[in-house]
Amino acid sequence: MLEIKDLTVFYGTEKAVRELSMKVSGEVVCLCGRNGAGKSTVLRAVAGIVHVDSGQILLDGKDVIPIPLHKRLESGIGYVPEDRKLFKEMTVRENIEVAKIGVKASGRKEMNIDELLPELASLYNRKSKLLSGGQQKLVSIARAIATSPNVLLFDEVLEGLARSMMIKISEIVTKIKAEGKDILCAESSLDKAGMYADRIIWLEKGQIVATGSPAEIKKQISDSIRAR
Amino acid sequence: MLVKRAGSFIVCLTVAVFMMGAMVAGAADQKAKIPTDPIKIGFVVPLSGVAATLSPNAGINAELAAEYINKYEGGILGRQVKPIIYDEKNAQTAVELFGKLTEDDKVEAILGCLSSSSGLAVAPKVEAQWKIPTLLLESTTMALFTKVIPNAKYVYRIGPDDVMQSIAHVTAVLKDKPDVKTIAIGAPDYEWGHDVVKRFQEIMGKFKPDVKFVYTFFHPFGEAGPNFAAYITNVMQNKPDVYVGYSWGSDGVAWHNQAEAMGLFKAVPLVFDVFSGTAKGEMAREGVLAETRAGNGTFPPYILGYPNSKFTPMIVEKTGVLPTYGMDIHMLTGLLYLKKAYEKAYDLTGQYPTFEMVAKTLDGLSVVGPDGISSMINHQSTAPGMAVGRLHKEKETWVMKDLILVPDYLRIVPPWMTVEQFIDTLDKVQK
Amino acid sequence: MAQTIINVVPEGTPPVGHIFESQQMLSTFLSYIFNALPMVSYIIMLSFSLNFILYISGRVSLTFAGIYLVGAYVTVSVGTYFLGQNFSLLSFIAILLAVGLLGAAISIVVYATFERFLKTDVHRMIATSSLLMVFSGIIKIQWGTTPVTYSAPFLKMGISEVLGNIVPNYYFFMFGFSLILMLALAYFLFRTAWGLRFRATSLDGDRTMAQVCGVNQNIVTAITFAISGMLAAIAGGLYAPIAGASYGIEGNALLLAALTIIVGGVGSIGGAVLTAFIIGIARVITAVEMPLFELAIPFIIASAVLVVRPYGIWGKEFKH
Repeated sequence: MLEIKDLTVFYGTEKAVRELSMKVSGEVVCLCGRNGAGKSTVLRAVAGIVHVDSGQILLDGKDVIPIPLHKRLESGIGYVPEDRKLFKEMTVRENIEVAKIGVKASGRKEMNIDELLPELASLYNRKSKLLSGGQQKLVSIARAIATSPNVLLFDEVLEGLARSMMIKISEIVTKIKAEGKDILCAESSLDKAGMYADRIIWLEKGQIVATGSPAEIKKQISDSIRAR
Repeated sequence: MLVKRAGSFIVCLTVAVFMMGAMVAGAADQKAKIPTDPIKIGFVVPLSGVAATLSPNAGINAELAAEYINKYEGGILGRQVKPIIYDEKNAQTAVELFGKLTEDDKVEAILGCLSSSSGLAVAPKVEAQWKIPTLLLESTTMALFTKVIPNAKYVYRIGPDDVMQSIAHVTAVLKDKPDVKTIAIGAPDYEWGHDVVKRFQEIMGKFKPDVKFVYTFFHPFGEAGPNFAAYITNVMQNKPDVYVGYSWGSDGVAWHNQAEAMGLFKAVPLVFDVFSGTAKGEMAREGVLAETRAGNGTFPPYILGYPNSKFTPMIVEKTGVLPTYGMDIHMLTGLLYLKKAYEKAYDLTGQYPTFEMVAKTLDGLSVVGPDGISSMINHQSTAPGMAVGRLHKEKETWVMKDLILVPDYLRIVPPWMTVEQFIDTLDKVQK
Repeated sequence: MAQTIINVVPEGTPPVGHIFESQQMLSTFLSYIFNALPMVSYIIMLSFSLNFILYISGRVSLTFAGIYLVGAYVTVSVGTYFLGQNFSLLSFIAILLAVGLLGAAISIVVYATFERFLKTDVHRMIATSSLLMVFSGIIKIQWGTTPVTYSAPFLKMGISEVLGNIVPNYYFFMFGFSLILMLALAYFLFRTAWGLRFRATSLDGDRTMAQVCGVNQNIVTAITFAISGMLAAIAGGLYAPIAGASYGIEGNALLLAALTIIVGGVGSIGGAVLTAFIIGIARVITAVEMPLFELAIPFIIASAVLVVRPYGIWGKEFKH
């Protein structure tokens, strides 16, 4: 279970995330909101990429903030960045290998990548820079789940993809959840989030303004628009 | 009455004569007082950089030269010599240091400048501004007294000039290999390198017009990590009777190693590597001809008791090596010239000598120095110590055998001739 | 005699003289390559010393030039002390490896205590080039300003005659040694798990994502500096028997290394090797044919390459 308590992150002098608290437990939670609402920042804070100014990030009750960036994966946090960020000169296999070699995934049941992402089987020896955007996304996901972390962070995982690919990836996310993983995502559009999220947390200026199922959030938003 | 008056007149006259005599005598004995504090002499010698490779212990040797003068010659005019030693570095620094020595340190003469570029830079300012007795050590460029300061008053030079050098080199090659037909010649690619090669070819052309220069090259000067393989290959492919090389310093060491590894010393019948006697023996090869300036302190033979018999052992004791370059020995020669000039000027005038007096006195002066007897002719010391010899290793030390000394009339341009006129006559003189 | 031989050859056949001539040309061409070998080897190692840190850690560090200087001097001193004129190949290789370790150690220490704190490339460039002064100061205190030599390995390895060219065997040794080092480095980078980590953090990879994937950046950077220091020190050690160790060689090392990266591209081992050959052979040819251009030719080549391919022959544009 991933629990965030009173998380505050500054970007320079500006508060990007303000005393944010939330939980993810056996579900797919998606952070939504406008650009600059702080959704990616929350993910990056959990992944260990940005510095946390105050608050706690608890993974199964244990604070991960003191854990350095390169040890987060080992402690069970996998991250799929917004713009894929593959090791572009490496083959698909090598991209996945990088995550595997340094991580002792002790006690975790390994996920079957071939079963989850059968499309990759034929691409293993291809240089990743030669792949299409959708394929690259799949590699990025494969890299994150290779060591079977308990928490997965997906940053705008459907962004810039064709409809068919979006559906495919949504299914994959659901399958990963079925393996018993906690999944925290960020999407800028409610429609995309609705494709796979169980629960949506609406952020504005780094604070939670609404939370609920995709349908509830949609209703709240249309209500508030009508109220104006 | 008259007699009486005459008598008193004579007495007066006698008294007057005596008094005048006494006064005159008193004047003769009453010379100006000599200060008792040490006399400061400036040294501008290479302590770092490429030039320091020719004379790695120049700083120590300057101190030793002063120590020698103080210990064995009683200083200059009885004053202890206090050397003030600076690093020559480059021409611009040398100029600054000369200014500092004259204006701030108040030295009474300056010795130094191994490099021609330093010598050329300081000389005009010494003549025009500082007017201080200056003895350049080396700075061998011919242009110094012919073009830059043709009417020199204060600047003198101890060491050979290009022409002296080249005549000695040509003579040596011809003596060692009279039937030479083809020569390959190489030098570092800068002004001096081009000068010496031009002179060598010019003078060889005078002495033996049928000699062909089959390969002439100039390698990069003082480049870090030099690789001369291409030049060495070309020298060997041209199969010359003689190779004449002017590489020195770090270039010289690298050149020698590479030439040895590629078999140049075996492939070419006679190698005259001008500077192979310098440095600490890294450039020395058995049987190779080398130049010596001031005989590396071993010439004249110690048994004759010239100053080198005491001075060279001092250097060896302190540095562990023989003086490697003319400059090391010439620092003492220079101090001996200054000592003699100061003392002679004082003896003649009874005054403590001004810079002008010292400079004038230096002209034509002779001294017995560590490299033999020499005179200041044309502002230039005629030190006989430049010779060419064959390198040979005896036990652990390199020595030069079969020294070839070039007679004075063949290497010194007479005061009434230009260099060109002199070179023109050389073939006739030799015959 | 030659005349009669030509007469009996059927018309249209190239005269004997031509065959001889082409052999002569081959021999001359080979002499260019052989004579370039020391410089080629030295350029390969030096340039990769700079290149490796630039490629893996995205840092500009000129410290390698100082380490190169130290490598040359230490090899001379240690070689003279332990071996003197008694040369043994294995001992010499042992000395080179020891010097390599020393270089690695210096590089790590300098990184950990100094370079680590430099934040931008401009700072790094200025600070590390000032550091070169410190290196040469230490050399000056320890060894003085006179060049030192240890030529026994060069002289004692003998010579080979290849098609009329006399080549010191040391040239082959030096080239072989540097080639083996580069092959080992390539093997390390492309065939080992650690190499994968290095490539992940390199300019071709993504440093943040590499860390997300569990790569410890500090260890990778430390090893990167160690390898760079090792290459530089060994380059100095290998070249010292040929050219001696002299005060001031670090400046030249710096220029050639930077130039090779310009031509060969960042992070390309093949590019470095090929560029080293281009520059080395160009220098040998100009030395013989156009001495005026000998020193300028590497710069002419680099400028020409930059005009045609701004990121070097094998280079890619890196966002830095």
